[in-house]
Amino acid sequence: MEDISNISFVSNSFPYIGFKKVSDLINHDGPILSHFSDNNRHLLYLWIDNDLSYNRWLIFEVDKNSLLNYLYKNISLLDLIIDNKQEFLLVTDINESLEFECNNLIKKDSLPSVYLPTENSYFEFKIPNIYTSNDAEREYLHALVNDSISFKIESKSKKYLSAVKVDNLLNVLKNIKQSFTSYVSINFKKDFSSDDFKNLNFDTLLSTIVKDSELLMPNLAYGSFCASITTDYLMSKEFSPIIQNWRKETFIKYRNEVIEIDYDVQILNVLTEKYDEMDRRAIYSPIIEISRETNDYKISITDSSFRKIRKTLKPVSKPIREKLLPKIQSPEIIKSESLFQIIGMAEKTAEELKLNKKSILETKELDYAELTQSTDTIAYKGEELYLKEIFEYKIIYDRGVFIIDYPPLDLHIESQSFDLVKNEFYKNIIELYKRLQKLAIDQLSISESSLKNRIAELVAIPNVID
Amino acid sequence: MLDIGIAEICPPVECISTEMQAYRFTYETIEDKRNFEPVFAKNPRRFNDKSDAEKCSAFGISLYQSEAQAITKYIILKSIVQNIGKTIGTHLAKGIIYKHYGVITPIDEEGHFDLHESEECNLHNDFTVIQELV
Repeated sequence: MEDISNISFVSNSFPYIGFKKVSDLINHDGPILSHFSDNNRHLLYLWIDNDLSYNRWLIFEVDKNSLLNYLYKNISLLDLIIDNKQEFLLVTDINESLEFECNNLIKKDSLPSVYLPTENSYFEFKIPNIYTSNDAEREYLHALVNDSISFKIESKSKKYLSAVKVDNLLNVLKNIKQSFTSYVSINFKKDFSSDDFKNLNFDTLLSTIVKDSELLMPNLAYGSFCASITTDYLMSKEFSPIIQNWRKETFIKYRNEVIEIDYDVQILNVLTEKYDEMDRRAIYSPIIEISRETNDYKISITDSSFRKIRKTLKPVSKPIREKLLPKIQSPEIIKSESLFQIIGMAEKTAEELKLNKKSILETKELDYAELTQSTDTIAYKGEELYLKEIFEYKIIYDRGVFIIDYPPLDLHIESQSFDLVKNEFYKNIIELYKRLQKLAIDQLSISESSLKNRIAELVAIPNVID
Repeated sequence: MLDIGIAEICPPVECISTEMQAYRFTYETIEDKRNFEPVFAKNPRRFNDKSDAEKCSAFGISLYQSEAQAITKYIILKSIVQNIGKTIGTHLAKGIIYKHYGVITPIDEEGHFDLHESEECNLHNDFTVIQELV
């Protein structure tokens, strides 16, 4: 066995008393990795060495979430040891009579490298039933709630006692989702570049990350309306540990940087340096909107049991708002043109939804709008793709720019004209269809093959020039 | 059934007798006495809790259905414990288990199963080391 006497502190007694074995996690002719617990704390025993008299075990404490993350292959065993908060690890020699003879405390950095798992040490074994039972589901939800943002929405008016209007509720949830989605997308582009992913299409990966960052509600209560929202980072297995960690950290950062932020001059300076005006608008504007004084509801951030109010979302003062989201200083002519286009969209929507004029005027004031378009034909300059069913996509208007973002076909189009963005979108789909049709199966990359399948699912009859 | 004073039925009722080719992690020479020792018979036993001695699997010999499945498992185990060879062996051996050698547990999806040996079993004679595992 490795001589560890000069790198360890020897403890006379075993420091973990009252722990019972929960399960062996890895077993081959006897245990190799085992989980012990005293109901509050969790230990893992990893076999690392032996000689004629002893088996040597590395014993370290883990939190339950990290253990579940390991079992669900989100992190490796090496991550579990290295990222552990403990500075010292216990290396214990157990004799034939199961007596713990040497309890060596070793500084994590000093542990002989041969005692550490490799970087690929993911859990490639069957998860014991005990971790996949309903208890584990509860643990999973518990883990989600632990990291979630819990909030309470209360009506300011007492007309319906504490009952909250559904419209208000939907508006709050929609705005938080919109803000969080922007936050994920903007920060992913800041933290990674396409060079970080040699074999992956960056835009496709980004759209997958955004899609998988869907907000979940692991906990609800009523009276007023209370909910916890979070995003999953335990179940998704398709991402690498680096991205999984990034996703987990991003939600926590979002909570601190957007929802629970206390604005002051210093913080404003940090934010204006970190995000440009457009990014700030995408992230902060939806949250500022749901915090307005004029809203007939108020939002409080609570603990996960919804009993203790940690913070009330207060209206953002005008000077702060103007520094964070300065008024757009566009030339008048462009502004008019943009507004005209918005009016067009609003009138159509108003007609469909039978909204009154007041609604249209309110719509005029918006810098941001979304319009769902539908068609059964993709047509551009005489070429057409007749579709199997009605195809829906969204055009986003964001301060003078019309955007179509359509991740399934890996398309992102921007233009200052509503018609142009639409035409360009259709043109791109037809070109993509034609290009992929020309390629034989063995010429297609994996992503092209996937795109081809998606287009094939849409198109019924093509009328295009080869 | 062995009289070993454990709570569970051992070998398990779903075990069967069969003749088949099998693979086992061993040390360099097939004569090495550690090669076919169940964990219960090892000294010191690789246990970390008293309950380990009461588990039926402690009396079984781990085997694999195919060479590829055995190698895959070895690579995975080695990523977990770099010293794994010191406790389960450093080589792969191939051999035949006969019906009278005992009973085997159902083969799992990774090709692993345990052989619960009969008194007539002598795997040293029927297995040959075929490669070193690194």
